[in-house]
Amino acid sequence: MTRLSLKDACLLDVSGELSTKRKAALREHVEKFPAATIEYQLVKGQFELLRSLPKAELNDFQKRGIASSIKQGIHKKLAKIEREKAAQNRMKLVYRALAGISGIAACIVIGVGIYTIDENIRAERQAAQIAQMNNTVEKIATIYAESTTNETDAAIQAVNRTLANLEAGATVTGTQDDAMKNLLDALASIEEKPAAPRNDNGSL
Amino acid sequence: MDAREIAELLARCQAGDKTAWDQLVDLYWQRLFGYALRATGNAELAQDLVQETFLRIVQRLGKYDDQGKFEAWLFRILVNLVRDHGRSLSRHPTQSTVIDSDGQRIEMTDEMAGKDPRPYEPIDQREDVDRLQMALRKLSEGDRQILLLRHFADMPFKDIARTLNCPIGTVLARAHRALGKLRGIMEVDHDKTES
Repeated sequence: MTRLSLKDACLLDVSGELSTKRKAALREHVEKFPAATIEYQLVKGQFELLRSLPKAELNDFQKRGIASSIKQGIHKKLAKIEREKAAQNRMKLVYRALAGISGIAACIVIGVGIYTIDENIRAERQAAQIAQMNNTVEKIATIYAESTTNETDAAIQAVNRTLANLEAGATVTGTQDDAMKNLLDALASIEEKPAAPRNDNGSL
Repeated sequence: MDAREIAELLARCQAGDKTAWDQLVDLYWQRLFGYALRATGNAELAQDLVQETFLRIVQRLGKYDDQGKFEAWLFRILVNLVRDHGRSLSRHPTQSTVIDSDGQRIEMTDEMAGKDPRPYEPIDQREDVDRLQMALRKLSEGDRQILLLRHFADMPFKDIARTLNCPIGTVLARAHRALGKLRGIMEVDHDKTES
């Protein structure tokens, strides 16, 4: 409990704000001391002056008018706040929808990007594989071609050998006729000798 | 209405219940108006300031955490609005300006506009009210606030201390000083009138 000065206690008492216990103590003090009585009377007089000040007198019609005007203002404000809240909620919804759409779009873009990169890598690998296959095929073809040439050569060599054997056989056996021998000679001379230049009239 | 009932009413207001707002207005508007009317001396302005006080409460009640100090908060808003209005009046002292046919600017008062700034004062008391308004104007702003809150807003000194955010001892000391001054001013005015 806070300690009160006599003046403050008097003021609170005349204002009707002093507790019963303190009120009783003040009464006792005021009755006991004449100076306190004077002080109490002074404060009481001042407060009565305040109480006597004229307050506004409103009739029922005026009271209803003012109260209803204040209430209308509040209702309008509440409606405005509700509208603003609804608008904010709508905006939030739109933002969320946009964010969702953006997210989906980003996912699609990333997916397409990954797919494209993957496709490129796959295409490069495929191209490399094709190139490799082509090389292999070329190599096989070369090898095949080389092997075929060798076989042809071998065949030619075999033919040559046969022919040589035939020649040798003809020489040894003496069964081959002279015409055959001449032909072979002629063929040999054609392969060995370069072609002779022709003159203008076509004679050799 | 006790503190618990007021807390319940405020909770309903926070939930957007319009009838709760109406109840809140019914509970406080007359005391707020009583203060604003004597503080400004103009009924229309007092009504506007009370309405503005409630509108500010509407705006801010969502964030308000009730600790039994609603009344102090409500009156603090009004006291600040009245003070701000007084400051703006001292910077721009006229109520309205009209241009006459010669292009001259004329400051228009409520009386000139045919409005009665004191429609709620009984005619036989208007002289007393005028004297009171004059006497109140001679007090400092802080002293005047205490007397107006105590008498015209029916606010106990303890609540005035809460509203003005100062110790009860300070409020009582200011009240003594203000009452003494007011008595002196009114007695001097009374003597002048009689002589």
